[in-house]
Amino acid sequence: MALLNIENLTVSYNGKRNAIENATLSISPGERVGLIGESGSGKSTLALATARLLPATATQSGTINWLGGQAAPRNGLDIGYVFQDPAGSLDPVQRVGDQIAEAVSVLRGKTRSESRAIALDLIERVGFSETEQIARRYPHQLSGGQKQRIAIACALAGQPRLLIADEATSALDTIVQAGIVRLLNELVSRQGVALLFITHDLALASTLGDRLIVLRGGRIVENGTPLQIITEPKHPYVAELVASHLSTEMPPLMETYVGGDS
Amino acid sequence: MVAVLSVKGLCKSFANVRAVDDVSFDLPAGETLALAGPSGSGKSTIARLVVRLLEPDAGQIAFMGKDISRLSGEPLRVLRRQFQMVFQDTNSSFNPRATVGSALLDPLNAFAIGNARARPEEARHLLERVGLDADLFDRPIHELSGGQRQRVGIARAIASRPALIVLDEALSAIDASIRIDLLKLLIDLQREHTISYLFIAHDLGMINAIAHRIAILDGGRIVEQGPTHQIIQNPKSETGRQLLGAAARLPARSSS
Repeated sequence: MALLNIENLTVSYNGKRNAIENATLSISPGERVGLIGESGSGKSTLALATARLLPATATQSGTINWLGGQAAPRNGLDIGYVFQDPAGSLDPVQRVGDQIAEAVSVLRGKTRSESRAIALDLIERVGFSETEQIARRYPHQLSGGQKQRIAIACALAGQPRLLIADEATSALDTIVQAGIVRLLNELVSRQGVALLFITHDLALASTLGDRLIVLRGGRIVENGTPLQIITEPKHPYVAELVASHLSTEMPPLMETYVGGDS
Repeated sequence: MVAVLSVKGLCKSFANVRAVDDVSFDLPAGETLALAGPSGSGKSTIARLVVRLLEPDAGQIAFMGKDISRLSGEPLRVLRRQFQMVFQDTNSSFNPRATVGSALLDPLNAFAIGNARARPEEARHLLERVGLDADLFDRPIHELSGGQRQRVGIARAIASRPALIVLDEALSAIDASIRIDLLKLLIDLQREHTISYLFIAHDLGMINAIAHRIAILDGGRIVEQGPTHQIIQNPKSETGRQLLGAAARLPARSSS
């Protein structure tokens, strides 16, 4: 049974042009789905609608069902959300261990000491070894990649079965980014968490995704395996993305480009 | 041949942190040197030192054979038209109230380029040269897309006909489908005007497209440098190998 079922979802802000138009998709348990598109294509709107985090100015129609039932997914408990800017999603004046423990206690009704122990376990699960020491730090005492790991720990506090990572690695450098991608992969393979990974980076999405969904102007224009989409793109935008991908395995543009068409 | 930019033993510390530690490199005319490395490796500090937005603690920065590391006041201002910088964040690198035209007229006026009356025409010409419609002249910059704003950033940088442009993650925030067009623009401009680029990025795929040479930085030091193909094919340093391993790849088409 699908974990998440979205049917005919349409979202608009302030009655303007639809940010998402008639989107239908589903995500299975433990599945990794890459959602790609350029700025303004509706990626974040789709994710925010799924997690019921849309601002009040948005109107939506269509259905979002969880586990085949009529109920929408519960934020935090069914779906965990990781945002692009880890500095903005953490409280700057609270120790990171306390922030995770607070999320555990609010979402799962645990006592203070239970929450504390679970928080330390979560800190370990996102790749830290000195858990006590990290728990005592404030966000500003951590690097960007470390802060993003803590934000992932917060998102896991309610034991969600779907993690939405919205450009969660876009602000990090490539080496740190690779580490976060490994962590997300581990969470999927070891703990069966499903992943909706939102990015504008086609190569990153295809490394991580079992399946790719491509958004263009609020519409889903492709939905398939990375290999399918990249070798036989149905939409010209995807073909353009594939053609404009720069890799270290390609001959340098500087050598192949004759000049004059800029 | 005298390098356009020659840096020797450059050092800069902030509080107790050695941000740049004994860095040396040469950048010949019309070539691109990429500085690659993880966050905090010192890339942007080197960029700021080179264009003298920061004061070095030690070392020399020779521009066209002349040491500019201790230059200040009017001599520095005059020389500055020869080395320009393009930044990553196009939202904050322009006066938010500026129009496209005024952003281009500023450097033309500041460096007294050409006849004052001919400058608006020159600004329109610059716009067209970077692939923008001259009709954008009176538009506020904030109304443009990110890719268009960065084209204005490049037009502003070439306005004073510099020999060197420092591009600090200038294309990192641009959508991939537009990035390749901007790379082509930079290559065209380099060929036409023999401009040298100090190209700062952490994505080796993008660096491979445009750079003649690469210097890999870690902890403020250059851990290796060499021709692009050599570093890409056989990185000697641990940081180089990590950067290459982290570079994004598309799944291989079936290679039967």
